[in-house]
Amino acid sequence: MSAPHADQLVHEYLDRLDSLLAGVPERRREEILDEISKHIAEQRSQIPDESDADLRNLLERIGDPAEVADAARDDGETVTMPKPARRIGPIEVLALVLTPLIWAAGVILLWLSPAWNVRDKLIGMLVPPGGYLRRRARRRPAWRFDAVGGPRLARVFYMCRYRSMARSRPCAVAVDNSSLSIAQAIRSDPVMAADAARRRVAF
Amino acid sequence: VPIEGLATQLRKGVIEYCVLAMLRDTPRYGGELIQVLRSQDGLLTSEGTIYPLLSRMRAEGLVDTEWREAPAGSPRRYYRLTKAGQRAVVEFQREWVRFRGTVDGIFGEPGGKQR
Repeated sequence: MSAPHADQLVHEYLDRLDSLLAGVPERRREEILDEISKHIAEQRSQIPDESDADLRNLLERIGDPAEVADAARDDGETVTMPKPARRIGPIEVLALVLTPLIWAAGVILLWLSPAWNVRDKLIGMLVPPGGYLRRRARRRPAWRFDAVGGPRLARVFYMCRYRSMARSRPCAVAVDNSSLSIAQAIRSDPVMAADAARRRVAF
Repeated sequence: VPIEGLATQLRKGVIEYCVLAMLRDTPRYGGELIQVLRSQDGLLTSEGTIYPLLSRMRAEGLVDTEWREAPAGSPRRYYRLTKAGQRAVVEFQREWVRFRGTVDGIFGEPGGKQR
């Protein structure tokens, strides 16, 4: 195989990966591309008499660019379209204002739910102790709230978070259903697989 | 659950921690990690996916990187565990041993918890 042809194969591979990494934060995108192009170069330098098949083999081992890009989308936080400024909109402010009324149930749901990251959960938990104390002062147990009906805070949070998740990871919500559907989804959808991995459904 | 999907699930759940564990004693570069994982049956199917994984773990503060010269070619990014990464390894190991013991116990394997 002629060198220009080989170089072109590599270029095409990296180009495809680059475009599939759209939406991944710039720094990570560059890092991944840089690492993979270096990896290819290094591996190629170890093949004494590189043939077409050698190179294709190498690229195949590295994996389909779509698969690599999906791995980069492994967590929702890194693949956001705009900046997370929208997370502190009027709804969120309202949610934080309401939290004191339903602290215990809110916190339990907050930590049970996979929909939020640790930051969200800490905010949700730490902001409202004032409300918890107020409940106690009124001698009404703060934990007696209808978890099924869903406290207002939790519902509001669910709404905001699922809305933003639905945009970046359309399958995210379905993951919670059953292990059977998880396995099916994983086989058919790499994004889903990545998401499942993030949630450690294997355990 | 089809066995193929099951393997994927299991792999995706542990690969991150396996990589962290491999960095426990010494910093390594990506190609080195791939080489080790290649010999571990079924842990890494698409080798390139290690890079997004490393990049994410760096973004999460589990690893950081330093540049080191390579014998030939451009310098390599070496990944090493941060304090948070070390904690994650320890926590995973504890969790994993417990989990494995439970499953083995149910399956009647030696070493499994007897109930």
